[in-house]
Amino acid sequence: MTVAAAPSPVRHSARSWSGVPVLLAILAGLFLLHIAVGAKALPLGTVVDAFFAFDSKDFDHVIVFNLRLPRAVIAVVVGATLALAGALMQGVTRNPLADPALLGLTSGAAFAVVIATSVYGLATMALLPWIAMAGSLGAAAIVYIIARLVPGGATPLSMTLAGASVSAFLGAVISAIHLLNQETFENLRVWLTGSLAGRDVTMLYYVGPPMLVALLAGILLAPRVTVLAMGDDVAQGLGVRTGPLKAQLLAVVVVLTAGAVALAGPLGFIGLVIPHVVRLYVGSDYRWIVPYAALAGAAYLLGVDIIARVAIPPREISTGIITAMIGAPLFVHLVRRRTR
Amino acid sequence: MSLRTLFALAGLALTLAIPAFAQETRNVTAANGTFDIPVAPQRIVALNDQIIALPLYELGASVVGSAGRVDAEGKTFMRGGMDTLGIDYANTDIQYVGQFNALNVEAIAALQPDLIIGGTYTDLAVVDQLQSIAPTLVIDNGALGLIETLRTLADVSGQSGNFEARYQSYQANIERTKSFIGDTAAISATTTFMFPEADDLWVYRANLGAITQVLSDLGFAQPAAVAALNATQASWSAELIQQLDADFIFGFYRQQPDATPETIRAAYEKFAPGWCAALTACQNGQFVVLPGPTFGSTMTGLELALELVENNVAGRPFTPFVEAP
Repeated sequence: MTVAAAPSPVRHSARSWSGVPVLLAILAGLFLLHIAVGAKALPLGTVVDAFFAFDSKDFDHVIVFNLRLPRAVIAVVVGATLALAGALMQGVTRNPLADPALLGLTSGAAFAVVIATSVYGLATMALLPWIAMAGSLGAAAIVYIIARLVPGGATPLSMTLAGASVSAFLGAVISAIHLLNQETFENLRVWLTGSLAGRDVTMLYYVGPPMLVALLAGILLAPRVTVLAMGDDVAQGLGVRTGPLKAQLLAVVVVLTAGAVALAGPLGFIGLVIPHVVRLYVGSDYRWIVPYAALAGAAYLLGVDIIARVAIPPREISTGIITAMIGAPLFVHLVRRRTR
Repeated sequence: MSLRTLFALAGLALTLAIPAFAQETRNVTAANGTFDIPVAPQRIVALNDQIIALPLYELGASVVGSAGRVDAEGKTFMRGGMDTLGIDYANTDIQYVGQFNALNVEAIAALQPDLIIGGTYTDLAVVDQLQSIAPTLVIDNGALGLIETLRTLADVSGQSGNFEARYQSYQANIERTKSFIGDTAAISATTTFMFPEADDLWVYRANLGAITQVLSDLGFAQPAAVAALNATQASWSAELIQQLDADFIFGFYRQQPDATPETIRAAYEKFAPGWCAALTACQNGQFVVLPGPTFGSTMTGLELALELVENNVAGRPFTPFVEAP
């Protein structure tokens, strides 16, 4: 398992630089497309007017400015952070299967939010990100402790198995809470599938600042992840203090994951698939993987959300369902491609 | 199922078989086959509270057990029971037998029922287990529609006379309301459903209990996009809410404890900001939120829904919806 994520010689620098503007252009294009198209077909002129001559009495303007724009912004933030968190986790654990969902962080955040809102009746949005972070951190600690306790210690395999077990356990507890408190749980039904519909953009005020700090920290720490991905012994030999570095990276991943879950619910596959796609282009240098993953993750979620909104009008499909439907076969394809 | 449970169920079935022999039986056909059931069942267990237990109880059937729900404090209750008929486990002899999707078979067996009634939502494996306790009928309420579901429940519980008398009265009231309104086909109405969290908006063409039955019986029209739905219901994109505009738009409150008229109205606004300004029905005060029993599955729900629709449509002047050119 360590082979797939082990760094190969860095040989992509020039090529890597060239990809950044291309990705930025794709991201900008998808952002504009996300705003221009939707369940209701609007003339391009109306879309432009919504920005430059907004009329709150014109519902078409409201659709563009109050429905599509906040949703696009949330898609960018969530897609970028989940992909970046996945990339960092794969590097730190030297495990190509690592992602916030598989290692229990997403379930931990979702579990904490479910407990806080449906059992304790929490209604204060400002606390939600912190509760999600506590849940993520708790789940990460449990996964790590379980992995440490098994013979052989915290290997990529034991971490993956412990993460899958903790995720399954927390999922079962969430189902049990659902069964015991069906009435109030109706409120979380859609959120738990991972959805960008009807999200409250004011949540960004609370989660945005810590997520931005974590995003920048992740990019700054990325060069050292490349060294860490070579193994603890090699990293220590190169003067990297692996313990503090891992703690910093865990904090970054927890903040990013918890923020994303607070914004859109537990969306799967983005943190798993996007770093693998990016590696095909930039190799195994995390200086490039991390920013590329952020840009590609944002673009991917924008694209997926466009499909979720326009596929079967008048309905909208939960974005989390589409990320899974596309992400699963895409991941299988990537695995087959790497093993050839 | 453990060997011990199997023996317990077999023993109970044997015990129950003795009084069953003493009862006069008849043949009925349900969605899951043809069964011999008592002509006048004395101990009925309902595997759903809202859809089965409440209508049976209001028709006078002898319900001894019902599936129910559990609230945030861990207290069991029948959904819509207090709201619609003023009944719950605490003030009736009805015993809690689990939730409709997590039934307690041993609790059902302990009640010694002579008839068990479930729906297509009941786990078929559980239905098979229950057949060893008492004939267990599966009623397909989705396919039958509300009136035929009520008629079937009345029939199998030996309460047809009560149902037909009440249905006749309901039909007479429908005719009365029609006479007040006039050309009901010229009036359009949309039935929507929203939870306080405002995650999604559901639109119903049919099968939302009493309210859609009443609107259909009155002969009201629906917006083209709703009438064109293949399914009886669909979640609706916020961008397309103007397709729902009609003379009247109905929503609901009291579907759960925090669903008040205020939180539900706020949820519509959160789901689609500016939605009221975008819909002439809402601008004209013709977006009406109705209480929970009006989407329930009882005769009481039908009568209440009819009264409220009559009051809102015939009991005051309203501004007809004119489709934008």
